[in-house]
Amino acid sequence: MGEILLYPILLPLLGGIIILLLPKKVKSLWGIVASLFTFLSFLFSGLLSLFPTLLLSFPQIQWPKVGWEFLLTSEPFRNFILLGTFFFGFLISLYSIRKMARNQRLREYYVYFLWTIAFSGLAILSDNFLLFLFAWGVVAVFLYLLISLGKPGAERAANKALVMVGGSDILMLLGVVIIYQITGTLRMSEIRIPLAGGLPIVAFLLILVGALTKAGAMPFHTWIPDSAEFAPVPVMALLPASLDKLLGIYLLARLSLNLFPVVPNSPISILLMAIGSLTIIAGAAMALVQRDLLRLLSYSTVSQVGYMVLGIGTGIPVGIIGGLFHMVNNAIYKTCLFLGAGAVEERTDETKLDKLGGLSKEMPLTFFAMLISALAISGVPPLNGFFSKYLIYQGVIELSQPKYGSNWLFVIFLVIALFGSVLTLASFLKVLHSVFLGAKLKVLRPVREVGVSMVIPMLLLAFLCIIFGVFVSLPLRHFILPILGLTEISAIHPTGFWTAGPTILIILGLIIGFILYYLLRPGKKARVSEVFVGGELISPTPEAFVTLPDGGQTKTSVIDVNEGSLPGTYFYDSVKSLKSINEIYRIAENKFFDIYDQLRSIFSLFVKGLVRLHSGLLTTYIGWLLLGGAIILWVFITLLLGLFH
Amino acid sequence: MGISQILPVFVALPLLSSFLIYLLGSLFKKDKISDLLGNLASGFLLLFAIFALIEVSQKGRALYFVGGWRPPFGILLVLDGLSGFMLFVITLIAFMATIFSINYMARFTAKHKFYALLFLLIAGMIGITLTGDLFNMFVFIEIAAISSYALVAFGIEDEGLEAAFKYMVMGEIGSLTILLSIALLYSATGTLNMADISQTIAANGTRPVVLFCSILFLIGFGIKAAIVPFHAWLADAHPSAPAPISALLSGVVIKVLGIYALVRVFYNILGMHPVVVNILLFLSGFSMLVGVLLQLGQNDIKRLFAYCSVSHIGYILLGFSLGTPLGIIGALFHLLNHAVFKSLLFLDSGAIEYATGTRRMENLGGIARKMPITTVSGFIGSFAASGVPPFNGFWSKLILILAAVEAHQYPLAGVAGLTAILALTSFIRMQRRVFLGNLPESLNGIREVPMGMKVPLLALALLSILFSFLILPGFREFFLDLAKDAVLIGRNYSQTILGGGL
Repeated sequence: MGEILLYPILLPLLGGIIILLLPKKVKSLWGIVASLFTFLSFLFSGLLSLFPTLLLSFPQIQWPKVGWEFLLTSEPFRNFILLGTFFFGFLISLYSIRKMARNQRLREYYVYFLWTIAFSGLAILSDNFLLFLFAWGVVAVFLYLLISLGKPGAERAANKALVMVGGSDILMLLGVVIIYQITGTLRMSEIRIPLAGGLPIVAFLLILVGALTKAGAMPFHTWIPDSAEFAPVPVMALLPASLDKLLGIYLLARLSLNLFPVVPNSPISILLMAIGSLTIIAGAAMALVQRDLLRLLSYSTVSQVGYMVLGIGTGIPVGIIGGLFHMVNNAIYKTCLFLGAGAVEERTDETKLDKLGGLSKEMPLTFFAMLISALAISGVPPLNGFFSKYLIYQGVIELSQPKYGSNWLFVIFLVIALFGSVLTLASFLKVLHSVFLGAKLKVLRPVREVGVSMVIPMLLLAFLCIIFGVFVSLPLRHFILPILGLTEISAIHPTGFWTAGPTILIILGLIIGFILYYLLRPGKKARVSEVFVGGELISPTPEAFVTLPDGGQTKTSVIDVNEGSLPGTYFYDSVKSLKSINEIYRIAENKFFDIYDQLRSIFSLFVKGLVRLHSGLLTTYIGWLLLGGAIILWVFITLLLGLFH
Repeated sequence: MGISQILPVFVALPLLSSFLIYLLGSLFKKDKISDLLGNLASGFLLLFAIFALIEVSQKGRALYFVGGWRPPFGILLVLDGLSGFMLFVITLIAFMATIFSINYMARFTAKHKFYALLFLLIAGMIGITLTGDLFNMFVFIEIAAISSYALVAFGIEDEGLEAAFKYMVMGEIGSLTILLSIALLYSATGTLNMADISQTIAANGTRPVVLFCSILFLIGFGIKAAIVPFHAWLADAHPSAPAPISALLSGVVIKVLGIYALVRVFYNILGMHPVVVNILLFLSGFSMLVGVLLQLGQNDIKRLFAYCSVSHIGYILLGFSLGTPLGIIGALFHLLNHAVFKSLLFLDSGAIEYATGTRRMENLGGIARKMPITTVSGFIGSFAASGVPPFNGFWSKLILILAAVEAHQYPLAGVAGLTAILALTSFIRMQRRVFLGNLPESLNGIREVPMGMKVPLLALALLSILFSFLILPGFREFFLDLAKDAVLIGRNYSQTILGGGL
């Protein structure tokens, strides 16, 4: 019976092999094969939910001394994540049929795609931590390969992604090894270590880094925006948007719920909440000022992870449920947003917000899907985002209650989260305006809606946003609550969804967001003037100065001005121009907060120093040799004498 | 007829091949003869080594008394788990190198001299692993070392000559240190037979002269193994040699002349004194880190691989210094894996150099389109070297880190992890600059390398994946446990040889 556990893993593997063998002439078949296999795997993973306690192990290939065994298990949490993985895999492979059709390395794409999903499945179902690490590492390699299939220049982004994710994997490996040292077992279902003492905390932090880097929380997120610009859009939809979140937050949840149970209000809990809040606000702030649609979406993805970390970090059931629910919801609407962006790119060949506009009439279905997703991500009721944010806020609020130690730190987190929501709404209003509303730029040729195979995934996801919102008890009761072993919402929240606190916060956030948008939007209040430099009128130039409502000036291209519309990106330049905030943006753009670049500079110093020492002169080398030998001899003698005393 | 009687063939065959190839090559002046003889010989040696390993696993160690003289007077050839393991590694990489040489060395003149020197090198290395006599080991070390100096200079261009000179001077300093140590040990114990020395020392207690010899051996073998701070010659020598020789040098020579000899002497003869262990542990961490930092700063791909070898020798040394069963298994496994992926990388760089004429990363880029096989094997090699799953390097690094943590050497485990991250960075960057990206104008006409070069690349790439399966019980016992036990048997080694108590 346990063999069923292998099918969801072997099926995509097999699919990949088939695609390797299918000749180029039938390349249109590749996408169909991929979709077929992911769909079948989806069905199988659904089947697994009927058998919540299966186990599969191959004792012949275990190595007890090292803690290694091949052990797969099925249980509610894993089955659910697996289901999600294949669900998104199927939708995106369907979408890829049309979207990736013109890619030069299409065969590689589908093979890597299917094998990524296969190994993700292996990681999810694995109960042995080493097997998990192994599969997780392989997924990272495929991420690298998939990103490199994108636009020219994608190699750099792929490079950064693998170094960051792979590096965090190695740190995670150290954490796992320490766990083995502490408990003597690597069965994830059996490990339970209290977070006390140096070694357990170190192990926890090491694995935390792995989970956070994969999910894309700060400060380990910088690989995502860089990839967003270059990687193919379906790759972005698959990995950073859905799969990596599912995997990363799955690990985080396992880590904080089972492996090292996190106690509410403990230092670790506060650390997690702090990371979460910081990520929320920083991600949203960076998203706000982006000029590229995909980059904006990727920063927004980073921001949303913050909510999940915040929720799980509370350590309280209602917060954890909120975090996990948010993981699901985010996967749904974020994937939809990326797919929508891909649709726009497909028809217009453009992702820069400055150059888009007015597509709502020509791409109504895409517009609808993105509208729903944007509203969902901003937390507008009754869509799904509202409810998961509600639960998270409720969790943070409950931390103030006496039974948890009456910690008032929660106010800070709440305010930060609220402000993050504000910025999120503002960013997405910007997106909607720049891409779909407003007047159409003349440079864009007439476009039509994208094909059925691309529209269906988007609409399906948008539909889910609505369903998971309006009928919120459904997903909660069937998918999320069982993770904590609960069955009724009342178990986590006595009064259901209509307590005042979080609702007020969310509505407040929406209102402020709208106000921000209204105040800062251009259009009627812009005054156009000709360029006047050094006493002469210079025209016609490609640029004209435009006065923004707050008095600041900015250049814009003449085409825009003639058309009477301003690209959406100029909205928030006024935000940027505020002195203090401007400074932060400036150093952020100079990669000050980019951990990858900072570490690189530090190590360069050491490297350059060492390289200079190796001058190539034989006498220098012999000198080092003799010096080394002498030191060793000296150390040896002193240690020996020490022993003899 | 057991394998005992035919042990000398292991040494005699490469020696014979060397002279035969030189003779026939000079007489007939046709490269094909050297190619044929060379590959036949190395292929046969590989099969023979596998056979030897099977024999050891079934019947235990084998002995051969050269000239019929019994120990401790005559020279003894010993085949135990560790020797069998090393023989397998040596002959495997040698075989890959000879196949590769068919096409690669076609551009050099005097191919028969190349094969002659190559087989002298192989004979030397095999001699080191099989011998049970300390001075005999020194003789074989010199045979191997001097042939390698000549092979590094084979191209007779500035770079090769200079590198060979530096290598020779530093290598001879190492050899002389070893010789001094052997001489001192001989005067202290009155014998040159390894087992006998071991028993004599055990009987008389550890006198200061023995400890001094330990240090001399550490320095001497340290130079041969390129442990930091004795490593500087490696970065010049390995890149300048022709690619198949670089593969052998980094893949096997530094391990046989350096690590194997070190392990044999310290574990089975002198004993691992706690102070020596601590020094070795420190040096291993130092090597890992310094090697990888230097690797990061390189623009010449072969030099990058050379410093990577320094770093990985650190890993192997870590395992042996820990002394725990897990540590030794990790070290042995890594020794094998590193031999496989490092020779893969060097052969790959040979292929790149053959096709493009350059080794500098700034002149390369985007060759993936034109040279798919070279690219795939290059990717596999660099992923394996970085310790990325599902390749063999992942498992051996994992085991080494586990062993370090198990032995409570947390700082060393941390260093190993940091080194792995830095190595990953370096290799990914190399991939990007060499294989991905845009093809420079000057390289528009390059083509994939011929079949003779593709075969070893693909074979080694395949092995990088297959050797991951060595963690499975059946294979593990056959390959690794045998060797591990031979090491851990420690000074009892002498009892298996001479029979007789302490």
